[in-house]
Amino acid sequence: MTLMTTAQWAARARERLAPLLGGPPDPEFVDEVAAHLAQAYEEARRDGRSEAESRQAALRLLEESSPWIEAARERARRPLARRVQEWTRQESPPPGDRGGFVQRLGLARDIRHALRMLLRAPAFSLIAIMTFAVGIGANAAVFSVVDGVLLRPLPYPDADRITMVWLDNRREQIKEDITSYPNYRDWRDQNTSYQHLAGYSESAFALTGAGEPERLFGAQVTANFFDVMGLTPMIGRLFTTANETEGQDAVVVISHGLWQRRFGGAADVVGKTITLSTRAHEIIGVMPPELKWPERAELWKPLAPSQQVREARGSFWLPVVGRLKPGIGVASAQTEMAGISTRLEQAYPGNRGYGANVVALRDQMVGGVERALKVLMGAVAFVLLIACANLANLMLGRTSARRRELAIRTALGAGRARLIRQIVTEALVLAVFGGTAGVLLAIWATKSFVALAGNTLPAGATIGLDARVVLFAVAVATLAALLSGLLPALHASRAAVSDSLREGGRQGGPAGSRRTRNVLVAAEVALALVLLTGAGLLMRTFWGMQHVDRGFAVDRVAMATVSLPGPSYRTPDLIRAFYNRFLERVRAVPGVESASLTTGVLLPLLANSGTFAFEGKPLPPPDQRLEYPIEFVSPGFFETIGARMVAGRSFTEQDNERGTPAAIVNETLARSIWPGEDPIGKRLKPGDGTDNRPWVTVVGVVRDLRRADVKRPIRGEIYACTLQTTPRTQTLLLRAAGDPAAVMSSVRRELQAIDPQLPLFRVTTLGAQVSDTLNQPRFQATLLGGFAAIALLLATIGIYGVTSHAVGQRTQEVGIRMAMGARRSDVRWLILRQHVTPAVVGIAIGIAGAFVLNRFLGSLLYGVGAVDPLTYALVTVGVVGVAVAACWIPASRAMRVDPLVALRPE
Amino acid sequence: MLLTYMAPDALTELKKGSAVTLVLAVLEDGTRHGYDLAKEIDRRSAGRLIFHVATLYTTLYRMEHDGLIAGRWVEKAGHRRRRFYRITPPGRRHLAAARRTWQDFVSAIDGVVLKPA
Repeated sequence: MTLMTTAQWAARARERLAPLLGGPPDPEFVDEVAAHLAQAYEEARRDGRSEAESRQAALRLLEESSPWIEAARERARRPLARRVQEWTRQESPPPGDRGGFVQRLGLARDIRHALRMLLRAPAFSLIAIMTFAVGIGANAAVFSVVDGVLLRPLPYPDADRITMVWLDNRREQIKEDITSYPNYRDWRDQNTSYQHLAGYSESAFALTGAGEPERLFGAQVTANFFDVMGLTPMIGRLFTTANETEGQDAVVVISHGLWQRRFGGAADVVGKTITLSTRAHEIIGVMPPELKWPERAELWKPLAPSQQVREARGSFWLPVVGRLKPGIGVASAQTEMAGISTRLEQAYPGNRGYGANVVALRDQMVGGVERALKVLMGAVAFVLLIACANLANLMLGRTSARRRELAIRTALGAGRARLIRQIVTEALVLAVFGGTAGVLLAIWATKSFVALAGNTLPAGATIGLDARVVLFAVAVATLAALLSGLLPALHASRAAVSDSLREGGRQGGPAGSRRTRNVLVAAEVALALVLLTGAGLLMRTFWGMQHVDRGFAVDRVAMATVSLPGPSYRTPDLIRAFYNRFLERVRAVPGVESASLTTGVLLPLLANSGTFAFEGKPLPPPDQRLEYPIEFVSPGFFETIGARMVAGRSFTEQDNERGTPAAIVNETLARSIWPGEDPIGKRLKPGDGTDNRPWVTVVGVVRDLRRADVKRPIRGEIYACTLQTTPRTQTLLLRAAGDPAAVMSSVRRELQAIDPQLPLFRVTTLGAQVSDTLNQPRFQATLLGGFAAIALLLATIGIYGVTSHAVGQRTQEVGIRMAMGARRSDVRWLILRQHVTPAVVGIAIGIAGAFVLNRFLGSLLYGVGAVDPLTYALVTVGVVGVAVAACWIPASRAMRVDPLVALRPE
Repeated sequence: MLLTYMAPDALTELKKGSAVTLVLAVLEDGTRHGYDLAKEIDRRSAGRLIFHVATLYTTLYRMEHDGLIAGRWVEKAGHRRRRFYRITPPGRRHLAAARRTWQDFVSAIDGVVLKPA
């Protein structure tokens, strides 16, 4: 009988404990038991007992097995971190246990080894994991937005067949203009491309009766609108073309959201009657939640234009949407619609200059933000590349410190492929941890992005972290691990193979490795510089848009809209009386400095507009006649928003129904119609000047107001007085002494006192309105700025890491230099020069790259060119400063080297 | 006399409660592996305190979990791989407190038992 080895004792222990534990015991525990038994056995032998007796004595310890079980269970209660650590120390599976797929490939061993290595260098591992987390997290977050907005198909059957058909207004340079009913009818009847072509008009309704009066956003649509969207009602039915006539249109289809919110999802909602803008409507159907067109619409009712409107080819109010026949593309539809429009231009002189423009619905929804999202996706890809370069650098540093270990492994027979696999496995393990942290980071980041984006992203896009995003994160993590792991692996394995042939070998990377690390630093700096210049340009754009002189002051101005329903306010006198009374009461509210009314302040492009004739000026031919936006404003309007009159006067209480019709024009209009003349006293009227409507006299010229998107050129504008024409829907503007939002509750009370049936809607402040127009530039600038900051931070860490490592390697060299009489400042200069150089090379490459890539920002920029010297100069100076700072600390450390210490043999 | 009266149950109880203190007291002098630890307790108590091996390990694992001691595998050339335990700073504090309690207890018992009325 031979002596029993520890392994045999372990086998005995495992075999006895397993049935009692109901599974294999913790190997660590088994090891400890085995060591104990072996020692007990050896001691018994030393005491002179026989081999058999000694073995008996040791095994007896196992027989009283239950306390061992207790110990084994105690062992199992260790914290997770410990268990991971212990698992990494586990040996190969016992013979006979073939293990799973992972074991057979030897992957478990690799992963175990990798974990052991990473636990041994916790600082390195933590930095690497955080770098991975930032790179992967940023990519996952931006991808979740891109996926939700750009990649997912719209929720309609064959959604790629749905397109908008816009009027291409060549006169005003508006590519996506709305059309007239007769044009729509001709488009619909003459085309062969579309299965269905529908017209719709967005409008708001006051829902009164049950509960609080509420302002609802909806659309009047032709009956085939639902065929275009390809959706059928969940409950009830749809309306038909028979409902498209006045008097037959008191039916309504409501959205799933409204059904849930206002009617509690009641099944018997169909057949109920609701009051919309004081008219009774029957609910005939409920649409599924997918229907989100027009955006934010909560109800759809028949489009029933009057006979007059049906024939008014010069009255533009109708957006058109259609469903292409199967197999017909957008391009061929465009060709056909353009052809029809050309025929219409020839047939009707008023149509000259109006083409057709077909835009896929998807492009329509994401058009404004597509470029911004692509830029951001590119930006995060850059961040990831920088992160990978940084990680590759870190790992190069680490593997060169591990050269002895690797050399030994090579000497013991590990092939080059084996070493590469080991190092790449380490990168993968880091990526798994980093990726997990990154996904958690992305959950938070995605929410922040969406909040920051505001109305920039299309309503109804579903954005969030789902399986697709996680899958993407996994792909990114794998790619990042391979990118950052392969280079160090190749280097280290080559070095290890040559080292193993030599004896000992100095620590520290060969020249090749140092060159590689410098190249990586240069690449990082170049990428960061591209991002920084892009971010700089977008920030200047945002700043410029924020500080543009709009011609009016936004502080302390609140606004809210009131709409008077036709049946209760039948005559202009009633409307005028209501608004006079309302304004009077609001002006009396404490804290209100001034109040006025308007039909639109910051309305974007689809404002009221029309063509005008100017007295004494020849009428241009129809295709050159321009439309001018016209707004109706009350006396006090320009004073409330702080706009300055440059000539004449603003409106007064005398500009009422008994006074001479008066108008105020902006500077642009005055300059273009009456160049070099005094516009005050000149006259104009809507239309071509041939009808018997009265002439309107210009009484004042106001400074140009930038009321909408600052990127659009300012058009000539006309203002008329609300006292002379009586729009039903008017917006109250008030300048408060203090917080404008605070006086709104008083305003609401005043309104209720006059007419409790009227809802006050679109309650907001002028500041918020202006801020909303800046959502997209703010979103772009903040995100790209954030990514650029991360990029710069990573690049700084990269430069610092490389310099710091190199200085550590060069202690001896520096010592020799100083012993030979080099001054400390010489040493610092030497280090700085050598290590800032790669950064400078990176800056040069980065500037060249930025020249090319920033052109993609194109339309996102405003008030600054893609090659803005100031931005480039500032970024360059900043990056050089950061590079010098990152090298300064290690260089100063080198300077303080004591030559004696440095020269002492190892 | 006292021990006879208390034994065996009371002695077992006492041992259980003081197992932690015993281990700490032994480890105070230096790191030891499990077997060695059991031997040392056996030696110092002249064979009167014998830990069942598994009870010892249960105690050790619980103490390690509580942070009183720390275990570490040590592999020396020509030697068997063994897990060595050492006392941690919290362990030292625990030991100091246990010692005070034990002395109070012993002197109280002494006061009663050694001075007949």
